[in-house]
Amino acid sequence: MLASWLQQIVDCSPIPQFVIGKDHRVKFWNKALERYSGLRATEMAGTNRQWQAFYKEERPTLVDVLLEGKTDEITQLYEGRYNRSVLIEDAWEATDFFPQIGKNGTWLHFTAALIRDDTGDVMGAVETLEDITDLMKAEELIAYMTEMTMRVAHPVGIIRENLQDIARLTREGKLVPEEIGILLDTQVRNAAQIQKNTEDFQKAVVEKHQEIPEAYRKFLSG
Amino acid sequence: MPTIVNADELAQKRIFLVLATPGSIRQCNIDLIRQITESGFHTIVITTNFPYSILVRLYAKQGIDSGKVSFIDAVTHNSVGSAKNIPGVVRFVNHPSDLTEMGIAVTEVLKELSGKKVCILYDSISTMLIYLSSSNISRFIHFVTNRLRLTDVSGIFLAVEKGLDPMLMTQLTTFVDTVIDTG
Repeated sequence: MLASWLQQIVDCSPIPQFVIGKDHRVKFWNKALERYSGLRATEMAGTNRQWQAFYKEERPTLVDVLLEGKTDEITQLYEGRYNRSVLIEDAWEATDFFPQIGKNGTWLHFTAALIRDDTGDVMGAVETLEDITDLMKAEELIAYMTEMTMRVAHPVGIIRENLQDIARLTREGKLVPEEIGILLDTQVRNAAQIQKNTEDFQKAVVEKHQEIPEAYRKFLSG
Repeated sequence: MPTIVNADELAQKRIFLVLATPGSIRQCNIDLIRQITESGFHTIVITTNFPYSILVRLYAKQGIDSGKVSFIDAVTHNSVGSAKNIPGVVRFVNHPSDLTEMGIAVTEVLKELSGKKVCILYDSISTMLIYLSSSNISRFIHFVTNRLRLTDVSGIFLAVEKGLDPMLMTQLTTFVDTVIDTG
């Protein structure tokens, strides 16, 4: 009865997850993970092939490393992309890119936690995963937009200040016509470069982010 | 005029990132050159905005001894096509984005002024952003700061406050000794 309840709880979760026992063999492989990985629960149960959902070659998953208590290995396997949970003891989370999953690779965020019995002995461990590819792409877009702002909006301000200076110096009679010409030419070149930067950014964003809606794509493509 | 950098700091061959508001960056440039000159240093101005011929007159009108200032000018060639280098006074580079030529110019001018107490003033990182990506600017500033430390020369990088990519700003703060926000 309890096992059936547990099976239902794991299966009804929309978050892909699996549970392994102390022997690293799969106890539960939920429906969300079946759909995500294409690997059926019936073929995974009782095996230690959980790595096949993420990697081409056999290697420990986050939950395998945690079960062995080799937390140092987490730092090596997920350098700079892991954290210890602030909510649950014996729980870790990590982020990694999987080039072999999906058409253009996939970013996954994992959590792994030990399961203990009433006496505190480890019975197994559970791992959940979340596809954060869209979030990572959004972060990349923000980085693009930040750079674009710095290299477009800000330089426009520089040109404005330069033109104000040129106007002031001209009014004060401190510049000869040739110098005014040189200064204005420089600002024209700056403006032309900003226009080119904008076009380059638009092109880069469109090329890198194929899921941009067509209406925006047309606008960005000029 | 508040002191932005003092003689002691320049004597320690320190490298600074000076941030100014868009409206005050030109005056900040002039104030810095006056303070560097009054501290007994020769200034090498790398200009990416105003040509040397105009700056030298503007400085003179502010009472700055032009004999104590040399220029690396990335504006004039691009505007008038050609201009001849004047050793110890001005060296022209073709374009603000030509970092190889700019790097060579820095090395050559430092050589010309060897034996003198020298401070380089780079005006400005913000204008460079029109022509170069943050990552290329970061690499170039890293190169220049290494060069300055090797040759035991003080340097000041001028930028408009809040005009830099946060990542670039973080990198620049690791290359320089002191960040001064004049805003």
